[in-house]
Amino acid sequence: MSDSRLERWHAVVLNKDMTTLSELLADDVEFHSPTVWKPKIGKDVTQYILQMIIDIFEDFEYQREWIDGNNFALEFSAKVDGKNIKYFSPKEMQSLGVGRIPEDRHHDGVISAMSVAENLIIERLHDKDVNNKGFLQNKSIKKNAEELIEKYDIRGPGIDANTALLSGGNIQKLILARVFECMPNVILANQPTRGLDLGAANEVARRLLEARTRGAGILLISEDLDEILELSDRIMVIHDGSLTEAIDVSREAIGLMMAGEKA
Amino acid sequence: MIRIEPREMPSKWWTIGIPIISAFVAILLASIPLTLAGANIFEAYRQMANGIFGSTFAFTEMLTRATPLIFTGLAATIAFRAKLWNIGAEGQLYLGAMAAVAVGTGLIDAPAFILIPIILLAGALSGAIGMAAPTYLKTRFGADEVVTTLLLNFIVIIFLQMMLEGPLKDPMGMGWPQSEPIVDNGVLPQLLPRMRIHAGLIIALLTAGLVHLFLSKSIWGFKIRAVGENPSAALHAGINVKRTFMGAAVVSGAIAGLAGVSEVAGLRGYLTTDLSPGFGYTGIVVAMLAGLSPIGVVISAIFIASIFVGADTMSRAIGVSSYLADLVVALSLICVLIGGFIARYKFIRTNKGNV
Repeated sequence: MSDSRLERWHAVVLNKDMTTLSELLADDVEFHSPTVWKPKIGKDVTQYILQMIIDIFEDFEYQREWIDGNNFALEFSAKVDGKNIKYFSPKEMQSLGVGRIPEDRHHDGVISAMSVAENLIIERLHDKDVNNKGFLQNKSIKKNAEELIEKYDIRGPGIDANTALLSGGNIQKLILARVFECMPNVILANQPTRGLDLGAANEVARRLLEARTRGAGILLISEDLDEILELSDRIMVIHDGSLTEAIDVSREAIGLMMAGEKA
Repeated sequence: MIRIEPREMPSKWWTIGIPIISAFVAILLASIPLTLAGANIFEAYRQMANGIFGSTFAFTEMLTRATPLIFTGLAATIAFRAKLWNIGAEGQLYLGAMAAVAVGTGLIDAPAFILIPIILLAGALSGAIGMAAPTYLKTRFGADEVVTTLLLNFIVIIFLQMMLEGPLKDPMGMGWPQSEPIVDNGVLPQLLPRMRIHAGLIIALLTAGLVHLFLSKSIWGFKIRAVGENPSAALHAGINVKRTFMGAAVVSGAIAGLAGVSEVAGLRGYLTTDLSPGFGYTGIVVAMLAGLSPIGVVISAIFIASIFVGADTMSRAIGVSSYLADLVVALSLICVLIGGFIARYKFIRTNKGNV
């Protein structure tokens, strides 16, 4: 009996057989995931999530199975777009086209003792126009820097000056230039406007919207409600380790959710 | 009250000027202990200059002394640029020397143009392993490389003593703990007849040029600088920080190993446990004095070698202790560190209560 249920489950995954999936799920099923802190309860939502997963994941493969009577634990590996889904090093993120705007731009964003030109190519050290058989292509690095400080309006003493001499807003523009020039498919923007003056903050917002129009997926993490309301298509609130979608997107409702009020 | 603020941009003149001014200040400050020792200061300085520039022999002796310091200074420079604190150049020097003796005393019979590169390569490889091992422990387990590289120096010296009493011992050495001499084809050629100056200096200068190119023009050098200045931003930018540390370690250790090869195959001819009077440690001073610039290392190695050689002559001529050389070297390092601080900050006089 129990083994047949397991077989049916495998058939669901293998053949993408969604009707069997619906038969297998109980009405009060709970969906827990390491990436969704708040468990999803109910058949409809669970079926929806599982369908999406089965649809998107490739090379779905069960690695280990534990069976104890009616209880099963299954461990799987899978790929999305040909890449393993488990952990991405910064390098893998780059090769996947994930642009990242770090939370602490001074600590993680730029190397302040290196020049503006050097910071602008630091994520592209293996591109042909930067790296010629292991050596820096100073001409094209300089050209790249001159183009980008013009295009992104990075103001400072020049492309050979230490990045430490730039203001916070201009450092952020430098990071934006680095991220957006690579035409990312996904952008992780963590507190991208914190501590910036109005002009620089508007610039960040404009660039993010521009990337969205181009078709990039953007995960914006911010504590600035105005910014969130202005830029976001969907809003989720994190409180006490659980992530909840905000249905009511008024300032007050979101504020209450941030304080722990249930939606 | 004086307020201290960081300067926006330390100018080029300061970065070059500070070490030079510091060197002069250090030499001037040395006149205090010289006076206390009862010496005539002008005579002392004259003898010192005489010991460096007095004759071709004196000058080549100074350059011979500078040769290992250029190597060890470069070794420290590369590692320190990555903020990898290689205090083990002394041990890596001996590892290089041991490898040179192992392959250069008859194991391989080949003409000079083959044997010398083999000896250099063996020494570099041996030194590289000597630094790669503690760096692996750092990247894998977080072992502090200051402690591991420093303590490895003593392990290497004791290992050397064992080898010189055993497998590497010269059977014709009358029982002295010394290795067999390097075969004629393995000896680095002399540059001038009847002088001790040897081709090691040329190799050292070439290495300095290569290190300069490596750090300023290569992708590896870029990564080393990036990791040294801000490891978390380097990691965020996709640079493999651990591999960069390993790369810096291998190059640093290899160059320290070359110092040992140069000393044993260029100067002494055979290996004893007193091959290096602390060249590895002095290399750190050389590198700091040079502000971690590979070209600066050549100049600061020559300066420090001059002080040592000059002080030797001075102490022989007027009977003061040659330890004054150590004093001047230490003073100049302190002067450079203070000078660097002055160059990086500006001092603004403010009125009381007006902070």
